[in-house]
Amino acid sequence: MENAEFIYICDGTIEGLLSAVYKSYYSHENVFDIIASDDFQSSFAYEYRNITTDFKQAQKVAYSIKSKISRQAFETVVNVWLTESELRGHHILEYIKLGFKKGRDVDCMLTQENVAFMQMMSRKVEFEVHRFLGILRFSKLHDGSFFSSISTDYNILSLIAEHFSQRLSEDRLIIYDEKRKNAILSDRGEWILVNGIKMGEVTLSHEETSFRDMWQRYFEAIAIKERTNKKLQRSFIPVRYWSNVTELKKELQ
Amino acid sequence: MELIDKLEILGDAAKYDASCSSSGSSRKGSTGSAALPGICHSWAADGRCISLLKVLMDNRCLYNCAYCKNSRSSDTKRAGFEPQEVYEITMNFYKRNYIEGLFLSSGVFRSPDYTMEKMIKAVELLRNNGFGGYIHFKAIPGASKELIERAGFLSDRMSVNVELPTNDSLMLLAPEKSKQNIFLPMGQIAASITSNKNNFLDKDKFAPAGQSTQMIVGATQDSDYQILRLSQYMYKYYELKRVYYSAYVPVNQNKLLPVIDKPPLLREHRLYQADWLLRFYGFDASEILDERFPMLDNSLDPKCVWALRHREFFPVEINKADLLVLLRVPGIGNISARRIISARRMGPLSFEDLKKIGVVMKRAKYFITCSGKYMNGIFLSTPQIYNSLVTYEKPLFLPLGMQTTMFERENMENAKKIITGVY
Ligand code: SF4
Repeated sequence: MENAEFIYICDGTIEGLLSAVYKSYYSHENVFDIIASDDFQSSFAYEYRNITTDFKQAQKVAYSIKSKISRQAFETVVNVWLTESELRGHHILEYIKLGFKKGRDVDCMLTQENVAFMQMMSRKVEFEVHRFLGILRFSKLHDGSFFSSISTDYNILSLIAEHFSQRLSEDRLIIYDEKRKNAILSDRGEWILVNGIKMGEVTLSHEETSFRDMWQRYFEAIAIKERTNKKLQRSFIPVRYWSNVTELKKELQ
Repeated sequence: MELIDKLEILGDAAKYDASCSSSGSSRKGSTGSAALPGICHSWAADGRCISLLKVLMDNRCLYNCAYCKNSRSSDTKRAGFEPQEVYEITMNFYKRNYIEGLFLSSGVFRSPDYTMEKMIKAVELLRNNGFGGYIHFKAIPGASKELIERAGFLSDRMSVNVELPTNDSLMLLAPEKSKQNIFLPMGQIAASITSNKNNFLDKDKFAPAGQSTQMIVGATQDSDYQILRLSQYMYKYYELKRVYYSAYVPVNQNKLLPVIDKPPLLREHRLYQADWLLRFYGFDASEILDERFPMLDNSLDPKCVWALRHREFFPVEINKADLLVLLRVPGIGNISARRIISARRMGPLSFEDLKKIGVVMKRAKYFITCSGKYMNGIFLSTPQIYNSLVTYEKPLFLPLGMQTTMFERENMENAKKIITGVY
């Protein structure tokens, strides 16, 4: 087929995405979208091509985006990929194409639907990252390490890893993504991301409950009764997050 | 007494202090850093953000400030922490990511210096054990210069509460605290911050996140104008980063205090809005209020009120106006203004474009033109604009039950007349 539109299928990682962008440039094929293999559903409308992840190519693309467009634009691309939203690959391709033409000014072109979309999605990811820097909770396990289980809208594990790894730079930690079955393992300031984890039961340290109780009691004491405003509370921390938040869990029952 | 009971008492006793947010400084320890601003860890049932472990070292107090729950004559449970206990709780809460740091205040137990020393010990324990999290230290009025100096080098932020905006109010409700006991340490802190600003090492920085203060709103007859003027003065001359406003909650029975059944939350909210205009929008206190109108309006936010009183300033042309002018348009905030300025570099903007870049038009549309034209050609009279602006006020910040009774028709009609000048 002469004008066939392609969909490239990558492994779902950032490197996979960037490898696909690389191939799309050098194959001169008309690529409509890039998707993760997990999301694959075939349709007659497109031709499909599997892309193998190539770190060198990924690095080259990352470098070109940062130098020809901007660092900010690179972050935007990464963030949007992590939203896992439909057509994200399509939007990313469009954005990069326009960016290579216009340089850093692309981010001023807010009246372009594609640019506005990319920025909006990216902001949503940033917002969730910021939120989780606050509402993530650790429990101390019997072996002295710190454990956290989270359920996020977007795939933000890799974006919060450095923060927590540095924050507890003398400890070992595990942050487990319940939805995606991934985890960050960090040991005294160094971290890695591990895919496809099955979490068993964890054993808490003996002092864990006493600190939880103290926190719970403090949390209740600090609210001013005359100002009670649950609606406002919920607008800041929507109920869907409560099951992993030590001091709010109780209210769900 | 069990530690958990102490924590409950001393957390409860600290809750009326409004300042809470961590604001970011450069400190870094082996556990944690205070580098990221404004991380909220939780929200209490009153909707207020919990960022720091806010506790008193001790809630026994020599003084008898009328508005304070911990005053010597008030009937409340008393407790005091040992420095080691504050250290343990803070470190363990911090590692579990419950908090971003510690906010340590205290009643005046035995003497100002005795109290300060105990607080300093707690904070020293934290820092000596690698705690790099945020520490907000409340200086005790009347403590010696040396102790304030020591505390400053251990903390990210220091504060001294003004509590009441005028000398008369202070004399009336907190006669044992003098104006001097408040402004002297505030001045000392400001001077130390400035002279140590450029030191390279964390341990050589003095309160690198600056100082703040708090005023109680509604415990006295003081007007919003007096409050705002004082805030502006302190921002200017005391290097203040933040002034916090705290709606008075009646905790004590005292004939000097007003009888109210609900804390004046709406007034507090309006003061924060006006304060925001001072700090980020280039307004002067005298533009927002004056002797003739010394109180902020209930029905509309201060920027809308200003705009309705200054129709001659409008319309603002979106494709030409500079940042400070754009910021004066109701409904256009910092983010929108910056977006407008970047987007118009690529060509003149229409109302359609404004919507696309995310500028909310419901308030702004009455005050702006795009290439010389009003949106849909509308041009309304001031009272007409007032009517539509009022409908956009959604006071989510107010607890249930206080929202509907707030603007009774009659009050609103009065407010409208005063703001628009049309009787
Ligand atoms: S000095 Fe502080 S703690 Fe003591 S009564 Fe006055 S405000 Fe309350």
